[in-house]
Amino acid sequence: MSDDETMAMVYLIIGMTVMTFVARSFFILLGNRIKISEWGLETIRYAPLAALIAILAPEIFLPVGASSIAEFSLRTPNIWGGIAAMIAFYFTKKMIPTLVIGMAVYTAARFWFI
Amino acid sequence: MSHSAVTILTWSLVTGIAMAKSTLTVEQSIAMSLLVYAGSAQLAALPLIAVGAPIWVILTTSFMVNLRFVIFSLGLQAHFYYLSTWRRILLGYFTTDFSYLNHIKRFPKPETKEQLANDKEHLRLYSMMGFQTANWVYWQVGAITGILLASQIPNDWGLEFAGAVALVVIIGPMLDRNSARWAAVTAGAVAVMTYGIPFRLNIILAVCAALFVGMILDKSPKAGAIP
Repeated sequence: MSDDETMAMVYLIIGMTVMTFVARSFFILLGNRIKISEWGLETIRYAPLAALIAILAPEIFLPVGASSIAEFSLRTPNIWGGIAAMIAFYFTKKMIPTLVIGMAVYTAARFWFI
Repeated sequence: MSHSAVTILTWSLVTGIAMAKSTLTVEQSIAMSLLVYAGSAQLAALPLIAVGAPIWVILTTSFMVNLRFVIFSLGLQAHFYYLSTWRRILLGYFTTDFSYLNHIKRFPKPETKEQLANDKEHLRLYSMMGFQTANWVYWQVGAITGILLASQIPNDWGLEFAGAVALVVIIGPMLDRNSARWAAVTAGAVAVMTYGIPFRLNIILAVCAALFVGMILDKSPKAGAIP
């Protein structure tokens, strides 16, 4: 890596750190200058759930490295591993069986679909 | 270990491995993990860095991926508006998906003025800082382990999928009522359908759609909406 590229990475890491600060302290920075209504707080109560799902769903339902829904295919091992994990969790409510069954079905599906 | 701990360790390990296998050096990967501390933004940045995208594109993408935290910061403001500016900035910076989730689960409603005046030990603040510290330590241990061991771990283990499976265990218990289930289905469908749009805006679109559905279906929420 050249010096220029190294400096570009330094700026990028600093910039991304600033983005983390700005996004995460966005409204709390306003301190007591704003008062969020009870209605507002009730509206955002599913935000953490929705955010986790928004990150998870494409990992399960789209092939690795897919760039859009156009690449959706039932021959994607993630889908079957994901569904197996959901079923395993539904019946066991435990981490280890869910991980073992999800990964086992995922791995089997990968060999099946080769 | 709690379910959150297992999930954080898995995602951070996967993120660390992805960074080490990208165009970043080990030092850059560790610096990014320690400073940026936003796994989804880091993962979204890696392919952009690899193709030499302009810095403003990468930074815009980072912010868009982080937009969900802007919504969380509204909830945080209701709980911690009374702190000094620096403490608010730091509390914001360290508020990840998991620390926010766990805090809201434990304390669904902000303290009233009277409760706050009686809470001399700032129980809620220290509870939150405890979640944040644990989250930070687990994340960095997992991420740095992933960065250092990446060359030892073959690509074909499919380890990256373990993070997704672990997240299923976190999401499952949150689906305890119909409005939550429909909000979840909405978020998932929107996130997948709009996956290809620029700047990873699909995440915030999915969150907004889910909030809308949740709001319409749950006109009379019980106390402690998130179990």
